[in-house]
Amino acid sequence: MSQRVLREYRRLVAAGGAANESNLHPTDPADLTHWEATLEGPQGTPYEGHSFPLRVTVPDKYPTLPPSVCFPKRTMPHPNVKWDTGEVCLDTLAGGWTPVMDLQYAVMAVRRLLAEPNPESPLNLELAALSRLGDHKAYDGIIKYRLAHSSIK
Amino acid sequence: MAPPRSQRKRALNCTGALVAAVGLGVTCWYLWKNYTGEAEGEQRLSREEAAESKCVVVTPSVCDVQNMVHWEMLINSDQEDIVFLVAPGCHDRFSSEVLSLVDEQFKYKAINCETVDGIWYCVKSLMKQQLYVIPSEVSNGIPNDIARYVQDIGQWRTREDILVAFPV
Repeated sequence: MSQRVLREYRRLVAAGGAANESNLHPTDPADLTHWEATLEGPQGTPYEGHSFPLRVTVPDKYPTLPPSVCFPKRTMPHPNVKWDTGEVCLDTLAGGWTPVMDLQYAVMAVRRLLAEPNPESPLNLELAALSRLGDHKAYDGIIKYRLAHSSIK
Repeated sequence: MAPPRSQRKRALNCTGALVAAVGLGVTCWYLWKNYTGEAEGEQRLSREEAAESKCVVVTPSVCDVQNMVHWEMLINSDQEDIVFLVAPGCHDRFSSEVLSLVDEQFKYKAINCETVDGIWYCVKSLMKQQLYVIPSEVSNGIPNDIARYVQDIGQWRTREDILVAFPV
């Protein structure tokens, strides 16, 4: 395990809850390769009022390589998230990653993505098409439907 | 010494009665089992039917039958996997005549679409088993590729078709 991720963990613990808005924490403190965070739906979006667990996996070559993130399957209706797998498409976590970024930055980038989807690199084709079309009512309606429906099941 | 003839006859009668009773019991059990088995089958069938997911495109004629079908009862049922895609031009009417009667927790089952293309993207996203639509009330009709996203398309032509699909 890289010293870098260990430093990030110590920094998060030392900073306490206020500095850790998304409650980013390792699943098991003895294993810093698997982390979890909770994203609150941004205000003014159809995600408002919902909380979303996010899983973060740290590769051996972190921070040279970015962490990988995913939502639990069929929980996040979003143009850049594959509904059936929870896979996230985000430039920050691919070609746009640099080692100066950290896990908390990665998680906040995913949260920003909820409010600012990028329909040009979609993993959910229909939601991306609705976003491009500018049919905001249908776009919001599908997201709210998915969120309500998946919480009932 | 052999038992007297009357005793043998009585023993034979008892055995016969016992066999008849067992036979009657087995027959009754068999008939009961078949009956309850059929009933279970019917229940299973109705559950499967209830589980069929439906998507209804709301156009003017769908609003017109509200007094007969009572769409709000379908929306308010947590047994019904049903979603309504409200076409442009029908939002206010569906909202005032149907959604005003729907519990807040189920209002998510009605999705307003500002464009006709938006309706079809919603259909593709939702992938419900059954799609109900009046093609003549949707501009350009049903796109060819929609059939790949639903199992069955109920194409309504008249209001009577709606009442057949959703009997009162």
